[in-house]
Amino acid sequence: MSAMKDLLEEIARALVDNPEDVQVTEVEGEQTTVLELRVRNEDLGKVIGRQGRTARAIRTLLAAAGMKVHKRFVLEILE
Amino acid sequence: MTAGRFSGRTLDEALSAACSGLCARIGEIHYEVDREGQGEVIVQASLDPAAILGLFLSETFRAGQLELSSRLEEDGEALVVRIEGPDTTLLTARGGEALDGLQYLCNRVLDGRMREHLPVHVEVGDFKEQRARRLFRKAEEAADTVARTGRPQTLPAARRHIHLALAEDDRVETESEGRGFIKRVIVRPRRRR
Repeated sequence: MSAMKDLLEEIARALVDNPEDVQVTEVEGEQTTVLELRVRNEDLGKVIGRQGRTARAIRTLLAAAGMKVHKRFVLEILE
Repeated sequence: MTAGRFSGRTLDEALSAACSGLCARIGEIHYEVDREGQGEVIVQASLDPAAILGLFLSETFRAGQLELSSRLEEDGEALVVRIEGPDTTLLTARGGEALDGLQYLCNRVLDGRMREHLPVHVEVGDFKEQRARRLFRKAEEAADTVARTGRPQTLPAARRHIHLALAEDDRVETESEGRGFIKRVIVRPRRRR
């Protein structure tokens, strides 16, 4: 179980109206790990935000937590 | 719904009715027992913004294995979150972008739950205060250079603060430049009117 996956799930669940439909898949690369976030269609706006500001805020937190484990994490929001 | 009266045969039942009625977990509500007796308990329950945020932050920090804790204070019409712990440097690195990100998320989380917007400020020590002061000095230095040389200066980002810092300086005027993510402020000599 990965702390990053848990972190993203926790944040996404707090933002959406349908927390039970939040899903995070971790695709691990050598230097970069991609975190694929899936939410219900009507919740997409909640995790992206106006002009992508919410997604950007989530990315800053993933980057901060990534510093601790010396790894880069990329957030992808899937439809 | 952010508040209401809920009943059950026991306190536990009344509280679980309150939780499902308010779409909340037990740690997120504030309640008072209104009436009790004759096999019925009635509670007056409401969503508690400080509790919602406190729970969100502690679960987020735990999930990310971040050694951080939060303390919440109510400050008039705002909630102030003070973050402490060995990992605060992760939040203040790179100009404090993660601290700003966390503040933004806290505001969105509360907006999604409460009917009225309650602004949330997140701070680590006096980091943001110091940062604002540094920015203010930088803006003043730029204004001095513009006044001395008559040539415009460009400052990166934090536009609102720079506009505010130099609003009263009648030697210079400021203007935003750029769209989307890359934005700058130009400080130039004030035109004669």
